[in-house]
Amino acid sequence: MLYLQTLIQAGHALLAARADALDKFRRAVTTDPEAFRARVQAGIERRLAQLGPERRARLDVLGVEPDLMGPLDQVRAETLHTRVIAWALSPARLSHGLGTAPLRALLDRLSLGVRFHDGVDLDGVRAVPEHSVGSHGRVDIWLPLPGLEVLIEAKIDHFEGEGQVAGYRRAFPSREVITVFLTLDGRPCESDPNAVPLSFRDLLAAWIPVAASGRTGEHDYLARYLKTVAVEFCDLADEGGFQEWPWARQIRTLEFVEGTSA
Amino acid sequence: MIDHVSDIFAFACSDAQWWDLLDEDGETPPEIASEVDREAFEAACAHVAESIQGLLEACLEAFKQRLPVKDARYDEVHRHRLRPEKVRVEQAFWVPISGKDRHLVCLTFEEDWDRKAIRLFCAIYGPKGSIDAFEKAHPTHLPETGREGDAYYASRIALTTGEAFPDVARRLVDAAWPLVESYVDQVAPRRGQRASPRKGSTKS
Repeated sequence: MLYLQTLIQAGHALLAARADALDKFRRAVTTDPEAFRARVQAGIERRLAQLGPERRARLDVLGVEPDLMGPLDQVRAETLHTRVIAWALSPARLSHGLGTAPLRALLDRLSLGVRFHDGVDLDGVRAVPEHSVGSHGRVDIWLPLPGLEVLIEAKIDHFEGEGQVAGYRRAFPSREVITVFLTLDGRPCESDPNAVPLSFRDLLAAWIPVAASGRTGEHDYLARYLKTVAVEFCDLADEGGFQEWPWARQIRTLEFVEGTSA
Repeated sequence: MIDHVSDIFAFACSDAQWWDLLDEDGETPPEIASEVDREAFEAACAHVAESIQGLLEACLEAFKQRLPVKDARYDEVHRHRLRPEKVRVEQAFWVPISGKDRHLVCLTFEEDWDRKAIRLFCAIYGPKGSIDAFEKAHPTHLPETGREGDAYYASRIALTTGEAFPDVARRLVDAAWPLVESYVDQVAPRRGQRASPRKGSTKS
């Protein structure tokens, strides 16, 4: 009985605290929304002004307009994403604009940066999208590196087929293989516990410094692709430039850019 | 349990900027530094999330009550989350039509077409061919309807402070149901009823 009374009292206290907090919200926000609006905008401007030039350039990448896939109405087309990613991972297809930078940035993200240090020649690497692996189907990206095969399987609106990624790994029995499972949320791969989980946000974080580091057509193309990834998959940025984004997206994007590696 | 549109919920809906800030995973604005303000903001976010849930549950109930009991074309209404990473807060359910492609009636809180306030929308999602044919038969001339991609918006309503959730739900369903029913007639006509001509069909 005493226990029940204590429980009821605690419930009442919780409700009272919540009502009190909502009243505080009314006083701070809803009674004078314009004053609050001005405070929010001033806070965002202050934060924007504190960004260093490198991070400011990364933020500008996400202000590019239009993005790559929006006008095509193909923002969630898995095979198109894997083709663009394969392109960026292929120094053999790129000029001196991007060169090996996107590939090396991804290898760093996969903790392979030491093994494939700057002294290892990667200029001839060519990633192959939709690569056939015999009876196991087609892996989204086959990335043959010196002494290592990287297999990337991307999932946007679909789930992994039964044993899919494990099957890809078995297709290369005599070689050293790393599988990467690229998804919206970076979830682990069900069929292959050794697959490295990678989210599109991870990919964005790895490549945004690359896209911001130059002004060639290739840099611009990558920037437009990253804008699609940021807006559609990461809840960052929005249509148009920074000033046109909703506050919540401005704040999230500032936090994201501030958190990118120096 | 929240059972009506509160002043804070209506405030959140009044401007897409407020809505974003008060979203379930909303960000606390950077200059709200004190713990007191932060607490107030979190309480408002939780309040909005509960309001959304309560209102969507009421809508689901209102739709269930509309489903004909002895019509084989309908089954149980099933909840379904549709691309939650894309549309953050929503509740969708199947218009279950046996042996056919998947069709959805979907409730979403979205910016209104003037891109200012947030409204509760009810949209029909289906294969492009079905939506094309439906749009042809039901030109979107009504101000509350519209076509976007593979969705046909059957109704959109504004939220008013103090209105009970079941009343809001009734308003939404009253507006949307004739179009939903007509859509079901199109994709799964009753026995003896003619199907709507398919796009490109040469039969008159």
